[in-house]
Amino acid sequence: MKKITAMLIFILISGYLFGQNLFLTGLEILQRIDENEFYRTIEYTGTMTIHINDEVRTKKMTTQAKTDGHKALVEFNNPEDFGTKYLMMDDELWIYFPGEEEVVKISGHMLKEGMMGSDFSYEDALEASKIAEKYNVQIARQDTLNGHVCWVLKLDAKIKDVPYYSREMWVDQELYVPWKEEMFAKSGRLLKEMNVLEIKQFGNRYFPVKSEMVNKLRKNSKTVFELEDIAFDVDLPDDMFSLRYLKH
Amino acid sequence: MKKYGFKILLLVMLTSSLFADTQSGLQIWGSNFIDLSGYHYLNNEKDSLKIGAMNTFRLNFQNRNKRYAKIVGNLDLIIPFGYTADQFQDLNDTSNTLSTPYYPLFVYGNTPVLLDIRKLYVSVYLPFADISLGRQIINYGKGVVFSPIDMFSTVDVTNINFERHGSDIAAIKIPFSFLSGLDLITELPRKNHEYSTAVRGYLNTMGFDFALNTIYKHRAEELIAGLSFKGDAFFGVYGELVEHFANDYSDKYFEGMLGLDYSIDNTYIFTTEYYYKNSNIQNEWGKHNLFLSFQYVINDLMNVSTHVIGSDIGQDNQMVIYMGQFFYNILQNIDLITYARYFSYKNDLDIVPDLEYAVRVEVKF
Repeated sequence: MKKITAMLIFILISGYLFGQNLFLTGLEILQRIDENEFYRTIEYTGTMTIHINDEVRTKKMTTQAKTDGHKALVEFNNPEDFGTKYLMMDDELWIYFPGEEEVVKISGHMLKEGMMGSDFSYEDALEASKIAEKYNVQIARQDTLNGHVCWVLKLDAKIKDVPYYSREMWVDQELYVPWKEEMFAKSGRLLKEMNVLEIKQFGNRYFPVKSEMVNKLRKNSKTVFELEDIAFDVDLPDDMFSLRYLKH
Repeated sequence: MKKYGFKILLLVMLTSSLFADTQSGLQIWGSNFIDLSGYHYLNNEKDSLKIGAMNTFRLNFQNRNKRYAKIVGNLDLIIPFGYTADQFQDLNDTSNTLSTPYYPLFVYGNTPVLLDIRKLYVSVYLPFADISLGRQIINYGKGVVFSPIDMFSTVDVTNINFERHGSDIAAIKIPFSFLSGLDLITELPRKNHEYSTAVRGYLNTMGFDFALNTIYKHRAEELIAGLSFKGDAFFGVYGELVEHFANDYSDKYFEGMLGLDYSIDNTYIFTTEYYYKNSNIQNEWGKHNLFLSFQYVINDLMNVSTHVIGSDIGQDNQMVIYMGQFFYNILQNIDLITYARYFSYKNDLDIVPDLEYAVRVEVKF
């Protein structure tokens, strides 16, 4: 009895020392990640650096997004793509090409493809819904990644309409931010690998501001996506996410 | 009038650069591209390689702060050389300048210098509507090549990027919701030229974009009603259905276009369009027209593409254009495009070569 009591006390103390996260379930960890990464609205300027073989191409953009209705508006401002805009609403996407004043609706099957030639698909770049709502989760193991103690979560899709059938996520046990993610097809084939290169604190929130995506289906290609001037929960008018505004 | 217009434009271009670095000034961007082309007239016994070139300086500008209004300009300064200059001269001799989009500025020796004002307009954003006035590209259709609904800014199929020319219009665009609205557009009347007025309602529902268009051609006194759509049904699917009511509505003619697009792994991209036109409708196309396009993306710096545009194949008025193209993004802002085109006409047209091959280098700034 004394041994059991001592063991219980040891477990409780060590649980406390490990940041009170010893008894968290996979779902609770996901919910913590969502608390960190999920936003009502966001505004940022972004730089996509695309590495293809030994060549480097840079795209600059400003993005406004709103999780209510899953809306995003992206405007590119590097000279080669200047004025090109993306409007995403739920799972529909329109692209505005300023040269021909043309609004093109992108077919649904193309949403999985590279955005502006990058390794990030439209869905990767503009995803704004909670992970916990889309995946069943279990803790697979613990691992140490670049000195960070992580849970490795195994995610399996619980709804049909998700960009990846399953994912593995290395989640920092202190910050509740994924440092690494692997995305798989239904066949089990590794499709993409994402590594978070930098995390910044915004109030109580830890948010990845620099990520690297490697599309395993493309040879010698990776994209680094860097966010600057990030503002959370800013007031964004609803009519900003409209076909009318897209042409402004 | 043209002289004054050009002087005002020049003034805007020069003064805009003074404000280019301020938040309230103009944003300026553009490109310079040069095409070096070889032409062959294979049916001519004296066929020989004819060399031409064309330099296009493209300047775009718009104001940075677009909260209440937008001023947009897109000007091409074109200098053709050699045989390309001769082709422009032929074009100028066979039609008055109003029917071509180019303003001849001056001729230096045998070299004409031309200006194409593709866009020059102002839009004002009111709470309930957007009002636009000036030269604008009106893009109503869904087709890449065939777009019977596009009465204002038609596609130039001889342009390797299928670009359009602007129309002088006044427009009011009234939104109903985020994804629906009503456009009222009228072309500014021009002497001896057709001009149109249009009402267009558009909405998005069930994953499809739909638009209903009613267009009135004033000089022909013809009413045109059309439906366009684009959405996803495994393939990307889009189309236009257009009915013409001519001669006091006693004659009805139909046009239709159906297009499909599909991409596999962002590597193999297919597009096809079929366009049916009633023979009573006056335009450059025949009764049955087809566009087939295939692009192979080697990587995001390089791609190879080919397309065929065919009209009434096998008929007396057959017209087919074959094109192959290689695109290479050499540096961040420099593209190299090599292309070859073969024009097959049963009715021999002197001005159009049978074979053209060209290299384009484009520098963006």
